[in-house]
This record gives sequence, structure tokens and C-alpha cells, in this order.
Amino acid sequence: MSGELDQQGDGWQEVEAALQQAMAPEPVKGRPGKRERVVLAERRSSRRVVRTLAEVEEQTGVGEMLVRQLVRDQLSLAVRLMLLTMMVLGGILLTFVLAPSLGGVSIFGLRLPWLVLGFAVYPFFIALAWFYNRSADRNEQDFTEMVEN
Amino acid sequence: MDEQRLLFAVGAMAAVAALTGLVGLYGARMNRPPSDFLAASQTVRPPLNAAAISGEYICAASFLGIAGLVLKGGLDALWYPVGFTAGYVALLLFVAAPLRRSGAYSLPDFAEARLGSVLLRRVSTAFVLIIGWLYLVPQLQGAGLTVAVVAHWPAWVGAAVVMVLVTFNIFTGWMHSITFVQAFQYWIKLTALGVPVFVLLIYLAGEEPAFQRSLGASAPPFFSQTTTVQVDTDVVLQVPAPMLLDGAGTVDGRFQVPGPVYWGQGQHRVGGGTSLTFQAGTPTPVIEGAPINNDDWLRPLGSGASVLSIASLIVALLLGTMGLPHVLGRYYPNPDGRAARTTTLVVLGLLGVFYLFPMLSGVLARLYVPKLLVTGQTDAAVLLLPGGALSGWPADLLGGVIAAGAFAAFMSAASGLVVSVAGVLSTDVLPGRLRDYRPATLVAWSIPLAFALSVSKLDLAQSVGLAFAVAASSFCPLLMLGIWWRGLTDVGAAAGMLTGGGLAVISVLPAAFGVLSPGWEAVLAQPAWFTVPLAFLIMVVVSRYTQDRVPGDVSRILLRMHAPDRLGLSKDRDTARYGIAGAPPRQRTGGKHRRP
Repeated sequence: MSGELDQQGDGWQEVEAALQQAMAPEPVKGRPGKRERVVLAERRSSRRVVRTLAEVEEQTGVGEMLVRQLVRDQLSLAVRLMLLTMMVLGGILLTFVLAPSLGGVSIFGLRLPWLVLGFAVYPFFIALAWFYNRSADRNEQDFTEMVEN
Repeated sequence: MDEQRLLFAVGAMAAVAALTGLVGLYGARMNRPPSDFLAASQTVRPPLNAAAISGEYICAASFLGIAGLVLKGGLDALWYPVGFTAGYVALLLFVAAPLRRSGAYSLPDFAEARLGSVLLRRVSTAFVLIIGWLYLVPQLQGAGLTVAVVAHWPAWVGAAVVMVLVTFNIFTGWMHSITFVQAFQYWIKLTALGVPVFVLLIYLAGEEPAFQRSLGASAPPFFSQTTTVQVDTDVVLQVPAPMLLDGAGTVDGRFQVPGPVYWGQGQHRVGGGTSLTFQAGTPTPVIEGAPINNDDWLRPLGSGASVLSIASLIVALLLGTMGLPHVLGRYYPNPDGRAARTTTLVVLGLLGVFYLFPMLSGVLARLYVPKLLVTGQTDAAVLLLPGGALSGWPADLLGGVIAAGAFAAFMSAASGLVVSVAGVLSTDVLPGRLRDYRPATLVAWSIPLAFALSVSKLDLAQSVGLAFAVAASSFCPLLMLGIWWRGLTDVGAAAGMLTGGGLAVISVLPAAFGVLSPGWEAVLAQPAWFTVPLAFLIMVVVSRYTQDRVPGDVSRILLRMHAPDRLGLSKDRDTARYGIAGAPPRQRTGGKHRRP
């Protein structure tokens, strides 16, 4: 049943990608790089890309190198952000242990440890995730451009 | 009085059920191809899917358990919601997009697709079942508790109601409508907890300043009105100051005829079936092992938890979320890897907003329902909170709304878990095709029900934490190494999962049964600090020694998982393959690419 889908798979994904990018709201307004990507997607010739992809997929020398580089970039990004997360969480715990006097500090009538664990960590998680998504997208965009050229 | 409370609770539950049914119908009207039985056709937009993931994730532990732990343990309990949320950070960084692109629907799927080993698929199946069952137990316990608190019915009624409703839902509904239902459930739960907390905060603002400030005092919480406490199981109480109270039952090992009891400062034993009446203004005796004075309760590590157990908990929650079967199943409906990332970002926001309210309810409960500190059954804190602060119909109405939200929490988490467990049972354990999915649902229930009915001393949040510890010690290393390291072999993965995950199971099971002394429980209920590194280590070392078993197509698989979506390389699990474990996955490339 999926055979028919497959025949036109690449074409559809292209159209979908272009549509999604056209419809998606600009996450960062006024960035010149964003506009360029939409244009890229629209004018990409599917046949040419399929041929380049086949090279990448069959792991010829250049393709293999590109993929390894992408995986390495993404992994180092993820590991760095994970270390940051663990340092922040571990740091909070360690501060509680080493400086118990901070537990008595109040800000606006609320205790500092409660503010940190109850409120502040969540915006931190969200900001970190947002930064990761942006950076990971950029890595992938670089890879796509390499493959397409 | 009781009738009115029950009426409101049942009315609110009926309203939730009716609304959910309507949303489900609306969802079911959407186009869905018949091949997509387990996972919705992949057209779910990130905000909707994120709400569905959060809706399914907010379970008994989040809705009732966290507030209960905050009431009892104070600041240290906040590591639970922080960890529950941080788990999605780890999931985002290492797993979300690559897993989506791998096309795996379940964890055994991933194991087989990545390493091509039927043995590893079996091991993964076993762990999906164990984790699913460990996670289902607290849902059923929460349902039993809610029914006991709201209606004074026996606990098994609540468990039975959840089982019947979820099974009915699965037998009649389809996955796409479940996405809508789960997304809707998130908003139900947020409202059901958020509105009462807001009302009570406004009410608290009108209280005397001395009462408001008592939370920071170097004194225990006190009963603001004369309170009778029914102690169901034996407890040891820490009595902060000499007090006179009325008791009937077994006090300090002696039979107590109804009448006055004098307690000096120190520890006192109370037997099950005893009723204690405290006068207004009496400081609250607190169950053994919890901080007595409010200023201890406010400060870090005031609950007496060791740094190691907190660190171990953080590791388990941070790395365990990615290994939860019902969470990963929800990533499959994302259109592509990029959408999976966006979805996770939205999930972080939704969870961050929700977890404000369990914390606030725990704090409010310290003021308004200190009597739970006497029995130790603090999981009921959220349910009893409105009745502790208000009286008359507002208390009953808010209590009903909270009870309905709690039921929504058990229902959605349980249905997600049962779908995952039954899905794995029907494809991998029972001889099967798609139609065996329904009997599998019944098998999926049987074991957690047995556990739930046996008495567990653990709080709901701690109970759920056990499932996270097992997931972090088994699936987390499999996913992280499988996605990022070429050298992983099937033997290495199986050895690591069996050692790390196996040790975690062995160490948490006694805690789940509640047979441990508190000292041992503190060590064994939080095994992640040694089982997770051990699992990673063994996976890497054994894989190094079995390098000849690295799959020949590892480069292609890694490419599929990491290649940007626009290149169209990702591969979806072929739904026609259901029940044929071990059959080679069909290519979805339409003959354009060769297999090496």
C-alpha cells in the first residue's frame, strides 16, 4: 500500500517542505539567512538532489565524510548542552549542600531555593531547547547545502 | 454534606468524560487511513502533539504525588517536577529527531532496526513490559485513593473504573482521536488544578498575616480547627511539644478506650484503626522521617534526604524519560524530525506551566490540611485541599473539579501505557496479527492490578520514580549509543541492558512491594546512580569486544537518523509488518537506492 506513495515520495516531500516553510511563521524576524532557505527549497531540482543523495547514501568517500561530520557536529552540540544542563542542576544541588545559609535568603517574600527550583529552572530549560533547535537546524542546513552543491 | 461532595465530583467527572468523548468524536472524523492503527497518520502539528505528549505524561505522580511530597518533604520534593521536565531536555538533545527519522514506533522496533537482532528485540520487549507495568501501578493506586477519599468506596473500585474506561476507549477508539483526546486532557488537567489553586491563593491573601507567615516559622504546622484524624495503618509520630488530645484505638502499644491522651515531646506509636482528635491550635505531630518544623521544611535538604539519593533521582528522571514507552510512541505522529524537536520545545513550556500548580498546592496543603502529616497519606493532599480551606458548596465544587482532573490524569497516562504495553505484547509476545491487540490489552492490565492491590508504602511520585530508574538504566544507553555511536553491537546492547536494567529492577522491586526498612529503601529505591553508568560501561566494553558484529549497514542507518528531513531519507516502520517479528524491514525507497 505504501508503494504508490513511494513512487512520488521525493516530489511530495519537496512540495511539503516548501509549503511548510512558506506557511511557517518566521521565527526570527529580519534575518537575511532565513529568506534564502525558502528560495533554495523552491528551486531545488528533485532529480539532481536524488542523484547527489544516492552518492551520500551509498557512502562513497565524500558522502561518508559529510555524514560523519554532521553526526559529529550534532553530537558535540548535544553533549555541550547536556553538560550545561547537568552543571546547572548539579550546581544547584551542590550550592544547597555547601551554602545552606542561602536557603534563608528571601526575595519578594519568597525563599531563594523555592524560586530557583520552582520557577527559574523552567525558563532555562525552554531557552536551552530553543537554542538547541536553532543550532541543530543550522547544522542540518549546512549539510543540506553541501549535499546540494 | 458528603452527598453534595460526591455529587459535584461525579458531575465534574461526567462533564470531563462527555467533553472528552466529544473531542474524540471530532478527532475520529478526521481522515485516517486504515493502516495507521497504532500511530496516527503523521499529520499531527507540533502544538497539538506537544499537548498530547504532556497530557499523557501528567499522570498520578504529577497530579497528586508531587503536591503530597511537597507537603511532607518541602523543597526537596521539587526535584521531582524539575526532573520530570528536564527529562525532555535530554530527550530533545539526543533522541527526538533521530528517533523520529529512524521510523521506529516502539523501542523494540528501534532496537531491531538499528542492530538487526531478534534477541535484542526480545530484551527490549521485556523492558517495555516491566517499565509499563511499574508505571501503571501508581495510576491504579491513585485512582483507588481518589475514590476512597471522595466517596469512601473501597480502593479497588477506583482501579476497576479506570481499567474499564480505558479498555473501552481502546476497544472503540482509534489512535488519531486519542491524539486529540490526550491534547485536550492536558488542558483539562491544567484547569482542574490551576483554577482551585488560584481560588485558594486569593482566599489565603485574605487570611490573617500571622497565619500566612506561619509557613516560615521555626514551628510545626498547627491545626487551625478541631480535627479528627483516622489512622488506617500503624505509624510512628514525632510529637513536637507536650499535648493533650482525645484518642480511641491503639496508642503507644496500649489499648485506648475513647478518652483523653497526654503526649510528651518525642516519638509515639499509633496503631491502625485509631482515631485521634486534636484541639484547634495544637501543633501537628508529624510522621517519622519527615521534617517537623516549617523552617526545616522550607530549607534545602530539610527532608533528611541524602545528597546521593537526590542526585540519583535527578539522573533517573533526566535520563529515564527518553526510555518511557508511551512517550516515545507519541513521537511517531510527528511529521518529521524537525517537528519532533519543535514538539519537545513546546512540551517543555507546557510542563513548566503545569508544574507550578502541584508545588503551590503542596504549600497550601501545609497550611490547610496538616492532618495528612499525621497519617502520612499525603498523596491525598490535592484532593482534600479545598475542603481544608473552604467550607460548604465552594469546597465541594472545587474538590469535585480536582477529583475529575485527577481521574483524567490516571485515565490518560494509563491509556497511553496500556496502548504501548498491549502493542508490544501483541506484536512480540502473543502469536499475533493486528486483531490480537484487544486480548493483549487485557493481559496488559493483569499484572499492575495485582501489584496495585497489594499494599505499597511508597508515595505515588516515588513509585513512578522506580519506572524512570529502570528506563534510565536500560533504554537510555541503548538509545544514546544506538543513535550516536557506530560501534554498538547487539551483544553489547543486550549485555548492558540486562546488567543495568536488571540490577535496577532487582533493586526497585522490594521498594515497590514496600517490604524494605526506610534505611534500605533510601538506597535501593534510587539505584540510578550506579545502574546507569554501569549499563553504559558494559554496553561500550562488550561492544568493543564484539566489533565483528557491528551491522554492515550501520552507516546507512545513521545517515537516515541524522540526515535533514528535506533530503527525504527517513524511513517509517512499515505498518504492514505488524506481528512478523524478525522479518526484514521493507525499504521505503521505491527502488531508488540499493541496500549494500
